[in-house]
Amino acid sequence: MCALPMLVSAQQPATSAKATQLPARTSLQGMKVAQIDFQGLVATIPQAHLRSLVQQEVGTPLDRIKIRDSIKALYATGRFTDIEAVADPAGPDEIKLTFIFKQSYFAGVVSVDGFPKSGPNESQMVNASKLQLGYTYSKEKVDQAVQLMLQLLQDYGYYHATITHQEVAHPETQQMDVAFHVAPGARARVGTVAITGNSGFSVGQVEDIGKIHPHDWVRFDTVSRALQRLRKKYQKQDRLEAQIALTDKKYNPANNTVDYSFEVDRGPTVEVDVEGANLSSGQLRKYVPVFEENAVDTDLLNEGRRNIRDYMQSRGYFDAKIEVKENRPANSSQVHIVYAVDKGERQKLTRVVIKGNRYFDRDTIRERMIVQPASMVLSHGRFSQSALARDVQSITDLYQSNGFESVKVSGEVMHDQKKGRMGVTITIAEGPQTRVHSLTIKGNKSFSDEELLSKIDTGEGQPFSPAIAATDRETLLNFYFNNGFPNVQFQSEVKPHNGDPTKVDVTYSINEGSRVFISRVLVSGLEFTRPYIVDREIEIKPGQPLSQEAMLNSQRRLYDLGIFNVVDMAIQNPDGAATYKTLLYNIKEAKRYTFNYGFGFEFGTGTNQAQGTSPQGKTGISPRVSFDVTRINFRGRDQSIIFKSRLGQLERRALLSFDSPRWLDLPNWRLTFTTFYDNSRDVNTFASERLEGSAQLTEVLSKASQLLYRFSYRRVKVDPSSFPVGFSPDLIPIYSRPVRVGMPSLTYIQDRRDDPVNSTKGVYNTLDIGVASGYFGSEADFGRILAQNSTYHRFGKGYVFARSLRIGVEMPYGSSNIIPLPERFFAGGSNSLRGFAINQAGPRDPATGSPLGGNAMIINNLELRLPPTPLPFVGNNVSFVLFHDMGNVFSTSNEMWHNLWRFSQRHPDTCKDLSANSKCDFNYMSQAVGGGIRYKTPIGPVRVDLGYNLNAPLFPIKQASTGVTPHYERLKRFNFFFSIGQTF
Amino acid sequence: MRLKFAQIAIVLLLATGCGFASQVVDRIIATVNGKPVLQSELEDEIRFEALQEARPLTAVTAAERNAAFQRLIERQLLLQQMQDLYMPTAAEIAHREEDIRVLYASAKSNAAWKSVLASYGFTQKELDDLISSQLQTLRFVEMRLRPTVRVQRSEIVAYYNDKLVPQVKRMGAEPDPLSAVADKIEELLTQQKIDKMFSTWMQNLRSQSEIHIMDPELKGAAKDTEAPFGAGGNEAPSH
Repeated sequence: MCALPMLVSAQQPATSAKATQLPARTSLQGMKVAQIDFQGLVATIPQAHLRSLVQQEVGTPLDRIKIRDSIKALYATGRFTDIEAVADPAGPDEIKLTFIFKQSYFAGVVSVDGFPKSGPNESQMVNASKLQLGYTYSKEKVDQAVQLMLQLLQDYGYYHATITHQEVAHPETQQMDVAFHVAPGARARVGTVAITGNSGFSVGQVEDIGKIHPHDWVRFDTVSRALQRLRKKYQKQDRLEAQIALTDKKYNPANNTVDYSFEVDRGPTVEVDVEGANLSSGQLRKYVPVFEENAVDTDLLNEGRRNIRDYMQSRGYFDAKIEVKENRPANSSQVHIVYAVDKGERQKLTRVVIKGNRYFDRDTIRERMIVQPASMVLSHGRFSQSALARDVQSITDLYQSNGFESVKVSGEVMHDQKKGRMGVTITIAEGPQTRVHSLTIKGNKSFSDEELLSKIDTGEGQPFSPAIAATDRETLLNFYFNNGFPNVQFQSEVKPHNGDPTKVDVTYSINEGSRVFISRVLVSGLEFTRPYIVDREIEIKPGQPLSQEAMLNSQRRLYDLGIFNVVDMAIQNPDGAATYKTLLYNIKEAKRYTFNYGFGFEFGTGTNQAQGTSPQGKTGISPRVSFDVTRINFRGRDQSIIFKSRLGQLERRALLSFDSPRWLDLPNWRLTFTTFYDNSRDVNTFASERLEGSAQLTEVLSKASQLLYRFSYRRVKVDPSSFPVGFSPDLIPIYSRPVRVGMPSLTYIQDRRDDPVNSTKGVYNTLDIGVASGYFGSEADFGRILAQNSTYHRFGKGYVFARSLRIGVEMPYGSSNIIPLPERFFAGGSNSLRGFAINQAGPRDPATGSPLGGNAMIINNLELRLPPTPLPFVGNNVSFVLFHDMGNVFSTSNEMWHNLWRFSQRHPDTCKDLSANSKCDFNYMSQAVGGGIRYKTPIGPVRVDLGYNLNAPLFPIKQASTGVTPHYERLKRFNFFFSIGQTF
Repeated sequence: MRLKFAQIAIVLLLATGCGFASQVVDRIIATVNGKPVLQSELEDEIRFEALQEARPLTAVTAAERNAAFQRLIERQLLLQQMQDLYMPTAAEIAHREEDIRVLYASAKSNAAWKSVLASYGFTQKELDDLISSQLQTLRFVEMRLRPTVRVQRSEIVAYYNDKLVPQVKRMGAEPDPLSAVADKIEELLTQQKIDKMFSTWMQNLRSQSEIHIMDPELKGAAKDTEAPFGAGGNEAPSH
């Protein structure tokens, strides 16, 4: 047996130290423990659980090993930094045992103030501190945090920064808040810049290229920016092997400057050529990565070779061979790389046939294949022997991972009679699928077998595959994680049953670990928000098992309130073995006031430039400014008040609204009050002044459906001076009369679209019914119904067919026989009928030719949205659409129903007749076709549409005016529009 | 006078009735990567070391206490590395116990051996646990380090010629031929290399670990002894 020197300290004990006696073992050992007390605990720590960890029992003799193990178990809870067991006399041969605790503290709210504006922000400083919410607090960690933050400040040029800190302890929650105060000091400047090596530039030139000059402020990216810019400069010179490195960075405290030293070797120029094939310089840069990587090595050259080979194969040269040669003459400042291409015969893969598959359909198999037949995108298809081999392997893997252990897959190439044409056949012999003979679950103590089996996919007699077993593992682990078992472990064992590989015995072994419960939920950081607003969003309550899902849901719901910038979530004491833990939410409230201001413009055909002289309007631009103020967290709740204003040539609007997302704390009800003033010229016929107030209750029926109960009261006044010159005098009194409309309405919305901003699948239905009546203070009595049905269908690879039908009908009743002009239907423009300029569809005033709107409207849109087209500079962000719009505005609903199948204007000669009695008929279904471009942006697609009206109406202008004689016109056929978002 | 006697009587009663003042049974003296090291474990280490060397339990100097403490730290570090692996068998534990027992001529009977153990403050079970922990650690160290050690033939020859032969001749004896002692020399040199590697390994473990010393005397002793054992951080967390 070897000697036992192993655990002897390398240090030899000194010989002259003072000696002390070891305490006698038998002084307390064996004495009866009459009582066990705890001292130093805060009231919120559950004592019962702690007592269960003490192995020494009352009434039994003191056992030092049990005391030792008890201290270790209590310490393992993580709640204490020190524990002492003390014995006091309690009678003859009896002792009272007291465990004295010193409780731990855990990191709470960490804040930083005083950081410089041109330095890191508070969030970066807090992250740099590495003081994580809920983790054990110690003075060492705070000291380390200070060092890390100082290092971060130095990176930003603040070498004179100092940081002090204050701690606020909360003994009742064991949380320690730390506030850091930064005094940044003067910011450093760049001192000297030294360049060594062979840069090919003077120091001054290097400074200019790298944007690093003496006396510049030191920034966090001073060095990285300089290196990047220099590398880019050399890349433009084709010096792809340039080496640039920072060799020294020295801070000078005396003058608060930083000196930088760079070592630069510009290297040779690198020329890359291709022989035997035509590749443009852009393609060469794309396929040979030496340009992007700024280096020339064997791996990159080989990657270039593979990329060029793949490109040649995509062009039909399936047997292309590429060799790469590097010429690097000694003492030369140039490297010449040549890719020699032997194209071979050009072929076309016309078909890929898959035979023998039953379990997976062809599409499932094809989408895993590299080999592709010729198509619009691949003119010759894609093929190579290695690609075929990889496809065979990936199909084999697909089957085997789904239980077909003995699957056989083979690929065969067939050359057609016609030269240059070939096909590939994939033959699959699936074989038998492995099935589960028996399934056993072991180790589950908290949940029954039945409960666990109901959650997983594997079952006796079912097909078995490693993929399914992996899914079961995830399912069971998540189930346990969400029921208070954060340390659960799972193992699966699969054995053939009696040696038969097609039948397996599956065993899932679970090691549950200890179950953790939430003892309390602590929320910090609230200043204005009422606590109950937060409490109602937190799903997990004290006493419940720890659930990751519930924690994340709560965090999401808090973010959805829209009044918090940050919602940090953590478990206090995550590493401790305690089974009751505190859940922490540290919240940062968002700024309650936000201000938005903007400048924009709109343009398109039909915008009004000169009042009264152009019934069709003109094409032009209208500028617009806006100013908005939003106040969130109103009254400490998730209520908000919004003020919006727009000012432009077309529109002057001011809006004030109050929004309460959970009216009376009912989760499915939302209350909104809105009042606005609007002075707009949407319709070329007139300018209207509208003052409106409304109250709306939204009831969310389900995820896809909601009902809107609304009452609006408005006063609309049409400015008679805004009418076009010559507007029919009979009509002026009627249309210029101010109108009060009080209208309750009900709207049903069903939205099952996948994406409201850019839908590719689903259905969108709305139905809006309103009644204006004198009972509600309305001066005009009429009813309105407006319905919309839109559907979206995906097909092929990225194609979407979208359609929408809108029908609106209004009817006056009672003493009213006309509907006021501002309340009528108008159509035309980028969001309705693109064969018309904005609001130009339907009946027109015979005197001036201006649109009058109507009491009925039908709009049918059909649109084919093509998949994105890869283009230079814009990548895959551009797509095209083709559309057909049909419909019109009708004077009455009767006219609409009777003219649904009329596709041309009735009696067009009457429209050319300028006599006073002639009546031009506009009741027919207009048709327009066109195309558009969509550019994808984060806020939705920006679109440009060009519509062509196939049957644009004729209309007379019978009234003479300045510069205008009576005549007739046909509405412009071509209209273009620029806007954001899809048409529907 | 009567009152004074009464006061003295009360004090005596309290003293005799209680028998002792408040006494610390056990406490945490340090933590290693979040795991506590207890006062009782340090005392066991001192006692076990004395038992293995058949040294009487006399007073312990501060330096001896610190050395035992450092050994304890190292064992903690190793225990955390090996978890539940390398557990010795009952036979191995018994064999090691026998090796210690032979040092005590008076411990021929089991009762006598029990008495020896009691004099050092151990029960049989406590001794078995200590031996088990020691063997587990040794085996772990051996399995980690021994495979990486190679002793060259030239080193064996050099040791034989430069150290063993002169030493034996100084004692007036005739050295055995190299072939007879080569294996023993190889084992000795292997052991020396393992010791050296172990020291380096311990230094690395300490530097990567969080070691907090709460006992002020041990903290002072650790600072006095300096690196290589001070690299892991010897400050206790404080509020």
